[in-house]
Order: sequence, then structure tokens, then C-alpha cells
Amino acid sequence: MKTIKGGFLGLLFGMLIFPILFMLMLAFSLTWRYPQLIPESFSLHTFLNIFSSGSNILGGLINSLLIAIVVTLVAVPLAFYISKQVAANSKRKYLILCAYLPFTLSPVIYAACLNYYFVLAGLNGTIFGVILAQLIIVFPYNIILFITHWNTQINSYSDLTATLGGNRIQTYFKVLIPLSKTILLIAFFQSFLISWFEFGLTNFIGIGQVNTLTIRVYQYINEANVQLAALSSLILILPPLFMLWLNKRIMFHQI
Amino acid sequence: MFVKIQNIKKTFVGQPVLHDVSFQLEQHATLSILGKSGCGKTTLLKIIAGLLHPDEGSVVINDIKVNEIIANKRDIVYIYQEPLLFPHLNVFENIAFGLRLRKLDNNIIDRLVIEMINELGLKGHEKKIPTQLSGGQKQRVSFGRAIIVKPKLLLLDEPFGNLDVETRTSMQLLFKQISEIFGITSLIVTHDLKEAILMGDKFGFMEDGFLKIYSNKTDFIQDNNTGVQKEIEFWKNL
Repeated sequence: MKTIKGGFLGLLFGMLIFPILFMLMLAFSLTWRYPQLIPESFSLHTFLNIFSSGSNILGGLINSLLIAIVVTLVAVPLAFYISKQVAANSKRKYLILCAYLPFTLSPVIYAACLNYYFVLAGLNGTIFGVILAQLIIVFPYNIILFITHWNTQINSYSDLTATLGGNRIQTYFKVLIPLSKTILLIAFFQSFLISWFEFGLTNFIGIGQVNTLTIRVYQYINEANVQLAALSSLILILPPLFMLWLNKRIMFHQI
Repeated sequence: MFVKIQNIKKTFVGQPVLHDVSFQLEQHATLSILGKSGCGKTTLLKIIAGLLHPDEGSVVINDIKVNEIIANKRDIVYIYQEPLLFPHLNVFENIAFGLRLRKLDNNIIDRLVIEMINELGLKGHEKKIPTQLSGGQKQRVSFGRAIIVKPKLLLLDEPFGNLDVETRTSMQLLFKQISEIFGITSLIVTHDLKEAILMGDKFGFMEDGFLKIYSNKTDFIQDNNTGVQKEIEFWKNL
């Protein structure tokens, strides 16, 4: 039984670690010819290239970080507040239905529908346009995530705080946000990851002028530039891995 | 009269919940309202607290009509059946909560909270978080948190409903004692006959949104609708 469990864990570990190890070797290899199992020689050349002036990877990394951070910081607090109003609204069924709309249509088709307005507003090919387009997906996602959070008990806490003399801001900062810490953390992580890995919508609205790391990876793969594709993929998975680690630490700390 | 509730009416989706509810209550007194679940007790309390708007009628506290005053400015605290202690705060901070909202000086807060903790018999539990407390202790903290802000009116919505019989009795007595010490004016709604009699100075009975107020305890006991007579008969025939 122990052997089966160990074997299964080993397999799982291998499945998770092997692609990362493989990309690491690919990114730092100088020559790797068939049928060699590992590269014949390694070099930091590709890695150091990131920091050279005009590096596409560094630019993509900065754009990705900027877009993901702004999208997360706008979408989560806004959805947290709006979802409370939606939950208390008599027409909440229809409002929730609206929140599902971008997902029923698929984000890219939704972007295609909105493209006309983006062109009209001169937002195509701009970082602001991409942020706005991603918000159209991430904001309703958070509304859906938060809507069930506003149950009778949390509303009772809110009412109780009011009767104890708390104004709306005090109610949010002293009660609702601390009580919603777990779901807020999940929302922040998920929103960051959705934005971080977003490709279709960013490509559509960015029209090749807003280069994020995800777009770079696809470009390098298309160009058959395996070293840069591997390196940018590695950089692409670093923030999610860090957040996964951070999330686990915070969650365990809470328990 | 300190509290005047005049002709309160409330309807939810075409269904009348409160019909012309009126009563008066003097300062430092407790009105017990007995009623079954769904008779409109909670709606009445929420209207008085400012958490719901009445369709008609007025709420007057100390000769001031408070209908248009928002809940956090009314100085009326609502205590739920659940103690609803803030899970992220310890006992001390839960009790200090209302004082911190009022941005009082830390030294004053410390003094008042320590006094309240002693009155509630919670000395030694200050640093505990709510999950480390028993049901009775949680409800004590909940009372302390409400009373420490010296509300003009305290509303209690079946506050002992979740406690076992023994704890419930001790909590009822403690509440009476604390009410007297702090000169609290309160309105308690309950479906528990014994609790209504034990807690109140004045008595009311609510059924299907209609409220009847009794001039004294004897009238309340003798009214067949309240169920006191049936209860007496039950114990006599046992």
C-alpha cells in the first residue's frame, strides 16, 4: 500500500516537476542535439539577454505585471462592494445573469463584439484598452465569486455594526473586510492569475502592440526560438508559483 | 414616555406583517413581547433599530422622531439570537468595539472595558477569541459590547434562544442585574413564556402582526391568548 502511494506521489511529483526541469535545461542550454538526454553545454547567454536594452521578455514581463496588478486591484475591491449591492437588490437574479454573460459567450467572442467600441474610443493597441478588456472578464468573475458570500450572517454582522454606531466605511474596514479575508485572498490570487495568463483577449485588443509575457511565449514558439520560449515560460510560471506558496502559507497560518 | 412607537405598519410583497403597532415605554424599563415565530417581532425590532423602514408610523425616542435617522446615529443597539461576536477580535476588543468606533481615548476604553469584564464575570478571559468561549460566555460578551456604549434603547431578539436551560436562566438573571446597574431601557422579544415574564417590567403579546400591550403582569397572565393559563393548567394536572 505504501509503495503504491509512494509511486503515485512520485508520478505526480514527476508530472509537475519534469516540465519545469525540462524548460530549465532548455532555457540554459547552449547546444542540445539528438539523441543526447541532457544538453551538452549550458550558458547564461539567453538569461542575461533578458536584461539587455530592448529585451522583449523584460518588456513583456513589465507589461504583464502592470496589467495583472491593475486589473486585480481594480476588479476585486470594486466587485466586493458592488456584489454586496447586487446581493441586496430585488433584481439580483438578472444582475447575476449579466455577470455570467462574458463567460457564456467566451471572452474572445465578447471582445470581438466590443471591438468596435474600443476602436471608436481609440483604446485598441493600448495598455489601458487591454486593462479595460480584461476587467470585462475579471470583474464579473469576482461578482460571481462574492455573491454567495453575502449571506444572512454576514448581513447581520453588518447591521449589528451599524447599530453599534459604525458608519459605512467603518463597517467595511473593521468588520466586512476582516470577515471576508479568505474569500478576498482567493479573489486576489484568482484575478491575478486570470489576467496573468490571459492571451486571446489581450491579443485581440492589444493588436500586437501590447506585448505581454503570454503573447511573447506564443511568438517565440511560432518563431521556433526554443530557448527564449522556455525562458519566458519559466518566468511566466514564477509569479503563480510564488502566489501558490504565499497562499498556502497564509491559509495555513489562518488555520 | 421615553419610547413611543406609533401606528407602525409594514408590508412585505403585498403581505401585511405589522398592523398599526403602537406602544410606549418609560426610561430604564423592559418591555417583554411574547409571540410565535413569524408573528412580526423581528420586523418590529428592525424598524425601531433603523434597519428597516416602516410603511407608516413613527418611532419616537426621548421626544425625537427618529424615522429619518440612520441606524448608526440612533443610539439603539440590536442584539441577535446569535451572539455574533467578531471572530477576528478577542473578548476585550469585542467589548471595546463600539467605543473604538466612537474614537474614545484608549485609557477611557481600557477602564470601561475592564469594568464591564468584571461586571460580566469574564475576568481572565480577556485575551480569548470567540471560538474559545462557551455559549453563555459568548452571550455575556455580546451584552457587554452592547451595553458599554450606553444605548438609549436596547433591542433583544430572542437573545437566549440558543442556550441550554441552565445557562439561559443564569443569563436572564445576569441581564436583569446588568440592566439595573447601567439603567438600560430595553425591549425583548421572545417565544418563551417564562422568559417573557421573568425579563419584563411591561408585557405585550404579538400575533399575526397585531400587538397587544397589558397594563400589568396579572392581565398578561390572565389573558388566554398568551398561553400562561394553559401552562399553569399543564403543571397543575401533571
